[in-house]
Amino acid sequence: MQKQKMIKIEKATLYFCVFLILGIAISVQFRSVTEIINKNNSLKLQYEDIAAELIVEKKKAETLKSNLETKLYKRDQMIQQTLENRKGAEKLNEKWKYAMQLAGFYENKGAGIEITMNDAKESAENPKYSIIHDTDMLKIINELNVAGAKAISINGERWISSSEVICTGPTIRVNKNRYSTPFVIRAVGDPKRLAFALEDSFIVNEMRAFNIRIEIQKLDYLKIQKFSGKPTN
Amino acid sequence: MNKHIIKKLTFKNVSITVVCIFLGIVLAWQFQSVRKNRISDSFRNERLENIKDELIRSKNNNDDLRKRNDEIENQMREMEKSSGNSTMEQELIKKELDFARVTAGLVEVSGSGLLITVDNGPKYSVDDGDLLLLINELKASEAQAISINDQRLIASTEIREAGKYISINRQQISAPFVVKAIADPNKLENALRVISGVLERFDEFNIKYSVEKRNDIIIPKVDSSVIKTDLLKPKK
Repeated sequence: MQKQKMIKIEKATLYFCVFLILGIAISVQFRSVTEIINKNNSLKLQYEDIAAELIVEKKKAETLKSNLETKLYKRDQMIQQTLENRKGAEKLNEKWKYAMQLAGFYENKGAGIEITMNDAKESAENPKYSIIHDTDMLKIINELNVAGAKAISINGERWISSSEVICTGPTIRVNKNRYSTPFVIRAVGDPKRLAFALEDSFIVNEMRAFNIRIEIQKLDYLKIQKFSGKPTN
Repeated sequence: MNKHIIKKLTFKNVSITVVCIFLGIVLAWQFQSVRKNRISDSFRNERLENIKDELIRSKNNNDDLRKRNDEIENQMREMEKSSGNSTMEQELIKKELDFARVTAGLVEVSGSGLLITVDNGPKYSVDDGDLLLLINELKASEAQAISINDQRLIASTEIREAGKYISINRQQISAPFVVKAIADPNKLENALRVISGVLERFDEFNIKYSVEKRNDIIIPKVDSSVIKTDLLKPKK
């Protein structure tokens, strides 16, 4: 009789302990879940706020850029006119045009090619080979220069003496500005020669072998923007 | 009587076992979900950090654009003010002309920077790709003028293997390559020596190189016979 009572008490304590722990666990869990939900909501809100602000900044950048283009154009016109109106400034005028052209400070148009590049649709075993790298872009620019391109731009950024291409995560940086795919390289020059040089090049064939999409288009007329920023020198 | 007790006991044991199994599954489930939550949490934080970075970058970018806008506007105002005053006009134009000529590589420039010598290793010779990488790295760390074996690098400069030589500005050049760059020497050297940077690559291929900080770097102007712009029409 005594023994049975003891067992009963023992059982009761055991149940008590188990249910106590369970109760605590459930309430802790419940609180942590509500916390996570709250935190997620606040993170989401924060993210949305910043995303909205980013869109505003990007729009501002567009306006600022187009304002700058107009101003630069006007200023260059002013200088040009002054040089043309002045007697004996013919030589200086020639020098001015030559330097501005070589520096990449003039917009250029003419025949040329446009290259559109996209990462491979499906990742290869090693995803490294399925995306476009800065070295690929460098080599393509180099091929274009070998083939005698007269002016080159990457996604609208004029390629000048101090231009760089650097991978920064999923984007590339050209003239300190970031761009994501598709990458569009334009070059003024003999379209046939430029296109042939690329189609025939090791780099383009290598990239295509890894399913990177490269489209080369010969054009009778294309525009290449001038460099509008401030070069580092 | 005995049978009855045994039946009762088995029922109890079975039910406790079932409950415990159930609890175990729930616990494992819970554990899994907490871990997943933590992963997605860190992912969310990362995304948030990324977009914050991007916002800061585009704000800085816009500041630069604003400054450049102001700069051009000031120039135009000054030009209008000085119209008729030919010496002042000339000054302004000369300043812009110099700026364009330096960017185009039409004038010799000097300053402090790095003198880098790159030479073939015992088993591997320096190729065009190595030089392209090095040059790109220099530009990315804001080198303001660069030359290889006194060939000034300009927008249309090619670096291309041609037989035993490397062709730069259509001139045949061979190792050792002397690369000069004008920039903040310390910044430039740090950029080159960074982990998995270009010098690490040179080490890997046993390419011989030396990097020297100098304050008397002279970079010649581009040989004007290599420049051809006959196909270009400046847009009016």
